[in-house]
Amino acid sequence: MRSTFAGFESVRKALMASQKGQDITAQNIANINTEGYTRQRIELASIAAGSGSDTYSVPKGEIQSLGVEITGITQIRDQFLDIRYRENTSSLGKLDAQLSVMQDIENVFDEMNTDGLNARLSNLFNELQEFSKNPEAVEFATVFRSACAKVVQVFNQYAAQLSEAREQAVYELRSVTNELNTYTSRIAQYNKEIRNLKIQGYSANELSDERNLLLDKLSAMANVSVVWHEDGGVSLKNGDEYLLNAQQNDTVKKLSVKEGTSAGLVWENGTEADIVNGKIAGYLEALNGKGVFAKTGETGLNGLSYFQHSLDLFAAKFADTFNKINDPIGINKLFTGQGNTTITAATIKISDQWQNNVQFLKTSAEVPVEEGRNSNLLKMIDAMNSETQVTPFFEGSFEEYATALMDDMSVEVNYLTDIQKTAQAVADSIQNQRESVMGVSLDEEGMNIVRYQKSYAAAARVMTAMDDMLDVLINELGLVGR
Amino acid sequence: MRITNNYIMNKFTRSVANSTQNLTKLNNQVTSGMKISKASQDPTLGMKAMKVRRDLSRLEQYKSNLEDAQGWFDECETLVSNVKKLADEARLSILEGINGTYSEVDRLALAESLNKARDQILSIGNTKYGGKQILGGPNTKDIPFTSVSGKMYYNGVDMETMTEADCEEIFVDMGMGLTFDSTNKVMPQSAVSTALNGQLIMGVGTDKDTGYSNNLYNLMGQLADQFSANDVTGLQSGLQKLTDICDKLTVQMVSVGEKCEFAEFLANRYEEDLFNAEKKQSSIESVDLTSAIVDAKSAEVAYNAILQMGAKIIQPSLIDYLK
Repeated sequence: MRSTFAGFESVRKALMASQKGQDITAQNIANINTEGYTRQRIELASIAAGSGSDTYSVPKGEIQSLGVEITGITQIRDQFLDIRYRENTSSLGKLDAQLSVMQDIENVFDEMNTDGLNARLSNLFNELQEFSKNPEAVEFATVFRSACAKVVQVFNQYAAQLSEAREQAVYELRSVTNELNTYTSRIAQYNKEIRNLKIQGYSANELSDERNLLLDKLSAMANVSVVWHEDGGVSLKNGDEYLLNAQQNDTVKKLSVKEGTSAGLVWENGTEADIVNGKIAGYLEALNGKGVFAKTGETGLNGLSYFQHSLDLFAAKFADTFNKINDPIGINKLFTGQGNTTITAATIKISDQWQNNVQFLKTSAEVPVEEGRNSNLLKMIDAMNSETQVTPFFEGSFEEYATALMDDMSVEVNYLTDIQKTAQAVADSIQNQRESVMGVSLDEEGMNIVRYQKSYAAAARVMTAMDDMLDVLINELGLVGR
Repeated sequence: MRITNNYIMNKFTRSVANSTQNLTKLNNQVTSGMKISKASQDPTLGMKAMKVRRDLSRLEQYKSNLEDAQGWFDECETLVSNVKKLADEARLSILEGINGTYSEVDRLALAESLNKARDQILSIGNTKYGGKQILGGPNTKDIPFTSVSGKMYYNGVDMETMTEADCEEIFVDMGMGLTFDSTNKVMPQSAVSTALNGQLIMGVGTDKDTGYSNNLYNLMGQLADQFSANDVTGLQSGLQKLTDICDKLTVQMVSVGEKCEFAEFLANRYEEDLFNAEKKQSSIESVDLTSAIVDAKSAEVAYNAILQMGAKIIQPSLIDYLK
């Protein structure tokens, strides 16, 4: 026996399902431009036939199901693509950070369009030549001292600019670390709320989307592995340490920047964090990179430390060479450091004695003194042309070393630019794949609009038909002849 | 693969960005005329460019050094030839004086003219060029030749007490690879010496056999005295001595002439080297304007094509066609 209003039940459910489907379509279209939005789909299931107690009330073969049931609203997302995307974003973040610091260094050393160390050293050589032809003339001595002052000024300027680049990089490192800490705290918040919703049986799609977006952004900053828990919480690990432990009440551990000779990131208890990827790693490597001076365990990238150290060695060697020619014993120095400290690129200056008396520079060492002799000047010319051991790793003339520094920088920037382009292309490709899985397509949603509209219309029709049939039953049955 | 609207947008944005980047780079090349604006765009090119710039700077400096040296040597040549001219004139007038019949007045006049010539020779010896004494050796400030009780002194020393010696060299780097030997002295074949031997030009010491001075100034003084005293036999041997000195001066002139020629030879060579270096710099750093403009135009066309296509594929979707 069929229950009278069973059909109406089916139709009612059909109408609700179609309306819900239309709502979901509207939701998808409304969110087509939302960042991190995953398209939603309604899950429908056919309601199974009744319980075992029907066995005697309804004949076999007459049992039919009772309509459609909305089992849930799911997101369409590929977890594997997410993992790949986050790994790649991490690498890309590291390259972006390194490139930005190296481009600051590039502005210091690049000489294609501006005069820098190379040009000033060549100019020094030329003034030295002019001086050697007229060693007795005070004007030439003065001009030569000015040319030396220009070289000193370039050293100071480079040192100052590198120092500024370092400050800038540390500043950016701090702000990125703060962002990281903020994201971790917010993810902890989301953990709590998503867990609550899940317990109550909801699917928490919107909150999940937002949390996933934060995870994407987090991965750009550091290499953090994500652990998914059954209850909907998410834990974040770096190595063996937990940034966020969902199983221990969502405790958050913050990171902070440690400066000093070697910059790094530390936990609250002072142990060093192992950040090898992401923007943070990029900044750290660019700051600490010692290039050829690196010992085992230190970064071999030509970073700020490398360039600052190289420049210091250069200034010291330059000053020392000229000082020795003027006075092999080492008392009458042409170049000194500020306040007689050791000479670095930042502190090198013309010595006070030379500044006050242009003839402090001895043009020749033979006695008795004759103004026409120029043997010291010839020695200086020879020094500028010969190969010197400027650093323990480089033997060549001063100008060659200046070019070598520019070359170290340009090769590095060229290399980083190329691999950053590749990483960007890979990131774009993975993002497009993700987009094709979780993105909203207007064509599809357009079809869905039509589909749900038609099914709604059809269900309504059935309702009308059943209504008519009941009408016949109620009003017309047994009215023979009346 | 499922294509969504955002997918199309992202791809399009990326294509436009790449195309714009390319277009900007080519436009920069055309406007600046340089292949690269930063060394990182092509590190090898940057290295080469720096080296060529360095070489050019060196060559220009050496060329300037040579021009200065040429001027100096020319002046030296003039100086020696002027001294020789005066010596020749003196010789001729003495010859005439010996062979002709000169009265006492004439002889005194001749002696006077000889003394005048002596003074001229002294002042020629003290010529300066570019603010430097030519014949002073390492002493370029004070006048090298002075007359003390009728005798010529060189840098404060009586020239008759000196012996013939090489003068001290003053070297200038002419790009011949200036090097020092183990005793920390400049190796002579690696630089050019601009010093002129004032002692050899004026003459040092005395001739033991004849008793005459080897020094031109002193000798002319002796001859003038002999003229005043009408010592004809003495004048004959004195004249011979003067002739010898004139020959020595010729040798000096030749040697200075050689230095002039050498400087000119180097100057010509550096002129060529400089021209080649400039050509090389142009080929390394500059961009061929024709091909750069063509590339820039093609990039522009490509850019326009991308924009046009993009406009077509972004707009329509199914929604537009539903009633």
